[in-house]
Amino acid sequence: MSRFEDQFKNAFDHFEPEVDPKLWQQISQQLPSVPQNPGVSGSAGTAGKGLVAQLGIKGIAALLTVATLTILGVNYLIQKDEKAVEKNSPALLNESTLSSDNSSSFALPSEQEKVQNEPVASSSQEINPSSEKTGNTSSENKIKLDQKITIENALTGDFNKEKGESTPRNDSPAPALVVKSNSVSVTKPVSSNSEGEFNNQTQPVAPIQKTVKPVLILSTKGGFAPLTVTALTNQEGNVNAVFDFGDGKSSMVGSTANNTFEEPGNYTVTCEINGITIEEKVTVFGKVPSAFSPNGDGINDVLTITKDASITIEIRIFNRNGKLMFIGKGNNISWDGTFEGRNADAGTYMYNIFATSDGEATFKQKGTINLFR
Amino acid sequence: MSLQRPLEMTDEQIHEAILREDASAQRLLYDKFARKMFGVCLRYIKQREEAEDLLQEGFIKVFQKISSYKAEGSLEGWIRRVMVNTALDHIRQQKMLWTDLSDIIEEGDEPVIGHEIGAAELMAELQKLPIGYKTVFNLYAIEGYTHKEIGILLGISEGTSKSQYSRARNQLMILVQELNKENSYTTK
Repeated sequence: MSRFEDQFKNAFDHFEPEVDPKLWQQISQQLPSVPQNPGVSGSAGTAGKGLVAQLGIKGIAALLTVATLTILGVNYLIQKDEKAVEKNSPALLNESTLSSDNSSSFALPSEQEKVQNEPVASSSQEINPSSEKTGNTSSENKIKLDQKITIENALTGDFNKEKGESTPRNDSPAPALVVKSNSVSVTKPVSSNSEGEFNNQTQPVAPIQKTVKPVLILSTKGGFAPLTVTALTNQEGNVNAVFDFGDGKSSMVGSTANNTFEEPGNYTVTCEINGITIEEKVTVFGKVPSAFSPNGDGINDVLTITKDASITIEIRIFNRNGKLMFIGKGNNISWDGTFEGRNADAGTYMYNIFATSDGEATFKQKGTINLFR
Repeated sequence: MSLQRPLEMTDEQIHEAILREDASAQRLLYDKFARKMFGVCLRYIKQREEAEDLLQEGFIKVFQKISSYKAEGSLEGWIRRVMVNTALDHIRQQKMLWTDLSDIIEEGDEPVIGHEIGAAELMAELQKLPIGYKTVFNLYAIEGYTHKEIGILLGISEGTSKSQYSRARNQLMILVQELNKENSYTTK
């Protein structure tokens, strides 16, 4: 018999009441760091300040030099293969517009509004009339340094030239430069020196998107069907990755993708970014049916969980009040839809799966089952 | 209204993504823990609106301080501590009545909570306790703090924490026994 306290503790472990959706909006409005937004991420965010302190002006100058050299190097390569790049670049831009739209819908409208209100954002709109279309990232001189180094639209002025637009850079405030390294971002006006270097470029330079060491991140690598997996890359912003989940469905393009695996099996998820393909494995160990109907008609009367023998699970099924209705263990798990000898009500039930393999916890999973009568 | 949360990134991945300042990661973290943490808030603060304020304040602290999380314990445990501390800040503003140890509590048989009693019902019973009892019970029985830690957190002595706890426990047992009785009548 469990102690009195444990009974409370267990009950509250599964107590997850609905939260009013408006709360997230209120929270996100007060959050200091919002990426893709130089004004906000630079002005607030203790991590950002930390980097300034650590690097100092010299460090930033050094980063700038590295970035400039990289750009010059890439630029040289581009000159060699100019036509191909010119063909590709508008497409890159358009697709990146799409992906930044996607990410902003995933983030919040309020963040968008904030962005619009930021002085930096509005000044860059003056510089580049097309920034409304391309989003804020395209008009920033934004350089990210990480294990992955992403340089995008670094040379705004030249980029504008290519698009046949005038660039009254001297009259307008210098756009912000964002240097990102792991967890930090810094906003600093571009120094006149490096800006001069940018403007001295005689050849038009296409927006550059150079990616080093892309990594594919999956929200989960194992579980029971229906298993929804979100794939994302370690790249931020204007990422055009092609995701294929290896389950026969058509591939998806964007910065993230979602897929629900419906059947058990071993899957290879691939992600192609700028010609580099990376992959991760997903194992679906079994399947929990989404519904059953214990009404004695001989069809789906019992909820049967199929699973691979390599994995040991315990499934707990709760009703909407969080009351434990069923615990299933072993190799043949099935629930007949009764609780203490009586038929459980029709409705939605929630389950938790605790999976172990060789005695070690491998994953936890939650889901819902519909009981029909 | 969706019960299913498809985004089950590991805590590590979410933590890393937040440190990279990936805005969507903040959302992922929130989606993953909001409901559970709301459950925590509701145990400390009875009023739903006040608990929502608490949740909001707690999550803002979480995002502000996430760089100080050292990935030693679980991320959930860390977030929970932030929430509990935020809750205690709220509670400290209220006046808690502490009774002294001279009241001796008779230990009764530990009631077994019926299977048909869910978290929502237990929550309702817990909320019947005076705030001092309730807070100590939450901290000791659910969150697993020691009486010494609770004493420091609430600015009371270890002995007061113990006495409050045993009173809280006793009262809860009585409430649960009543609940069990009610249930056995209604189910017959």
